[in-house]
Amino acid sequence: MTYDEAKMLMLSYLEGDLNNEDTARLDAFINANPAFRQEFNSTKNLWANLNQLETPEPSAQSKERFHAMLKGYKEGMEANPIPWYEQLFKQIATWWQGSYVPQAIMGIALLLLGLQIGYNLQKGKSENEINGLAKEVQEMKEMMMLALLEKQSASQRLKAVNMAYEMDNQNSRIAEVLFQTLANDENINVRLAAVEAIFQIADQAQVRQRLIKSLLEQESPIVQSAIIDVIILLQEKQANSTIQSFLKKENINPAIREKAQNTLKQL
Amino acid sequence: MQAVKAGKTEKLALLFERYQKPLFGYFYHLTHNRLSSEDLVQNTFYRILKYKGNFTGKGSFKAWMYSIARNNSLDYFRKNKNEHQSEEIEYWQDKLPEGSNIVESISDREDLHLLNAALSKLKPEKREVLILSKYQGLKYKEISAILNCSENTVKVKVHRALEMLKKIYCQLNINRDYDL
Repeated sequence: MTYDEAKMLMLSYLEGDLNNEDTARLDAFINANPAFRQEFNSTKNLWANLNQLETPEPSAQSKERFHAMLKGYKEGMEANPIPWYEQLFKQIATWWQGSYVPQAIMGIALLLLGLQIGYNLQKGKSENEINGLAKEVQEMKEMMMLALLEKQSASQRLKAVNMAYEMDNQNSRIAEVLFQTLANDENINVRLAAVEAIFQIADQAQVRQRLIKSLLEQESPIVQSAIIDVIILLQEKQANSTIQSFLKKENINPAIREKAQNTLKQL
Repeated sequence: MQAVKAGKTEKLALLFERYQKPLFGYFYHLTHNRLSSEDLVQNTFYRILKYKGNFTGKGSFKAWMYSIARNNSLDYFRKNKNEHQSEEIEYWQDKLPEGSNIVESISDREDLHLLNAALSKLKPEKREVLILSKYQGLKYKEISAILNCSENTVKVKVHRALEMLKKIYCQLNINRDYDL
């Protein structure tokens, strides 16, 4: 047994709360340690001697004063009763302090609220992250499309034009690239692919107008035919004046001329 | 106490009958001043009335009452510092006998005065644990609830207070070569 343990047992002994087993242990320690025995004896005597100190009795007047105070308190309470809201507040405070149930309910409610807030914040964050990633992918695709359009190989450029289908059809930059391709690409197949891709985004009035106008710029009968087909499909009546201008051009393939004239009638 | 809390304030008289003397003893051993102790008892019961709504019933009434009494005594010492204490010590020191010995059982009245003087000189926080344990008959566990600490801490505090009390007693007993 250590000194600290013996000290604790000594204090329990003074309190009169030491069981037989611990009393025997304490005795053994006392017998084995003369220094502790001295401390134990002096503490024990001091403890006993403290009993002999007198405690005077309170005076008789103190009882009278108490009853006067109690009477005064009661009269004061009757004259100025506590307002109902204050009583209610006190009752709630006592109820809150007196039981763990309301505290537990409030704790769980706060935990759930915290989880909900955390979930919402996380959700908002995830959505933002997804939007950010989608934007980055879109930009990468655009860059790839532009890079492919610069290639010598027509099949690569064709692939680039077809990439337009995978992209946001409201993107004005994509429309611009497709019109540039339609106007400048030397390969007919690539230009035809551009016409088809433009048709996919032709729900925009501006795109339709520009496609109709491009009929005047095209020299290839196949491309001209494809543009006229799109005009028919779109039933774009505003194309009339453009087609009339187109018919005034010389060196138009007779089959295309006939097709254009029929289109005017259909519109 | 639950009846007092429910509004039957006249029931406080029963609690006063039961605890007036122990409380007076608690304050008297702390302050060594009769009148102040009576005032402090009065004030403690007034606070019990005033704050009856705060009594939750979770712990014992006794522990709650001593918590209020303790706050009262702390207020008292804040206001009065140690003025009256030193007067008491001087009073007892004048009456010190020659050759007091705490190791032997005290039979001489003057030795008791010496012990009383030593107790008065003990710092209030040290004196308090001794009073609660010795004069109020509270178990260490009950004291731990009042002081808001563990039972072992109370034991350590009691031990330190006793050691300090021995030391002060020896210092006061200057006329004799005292061996503890």
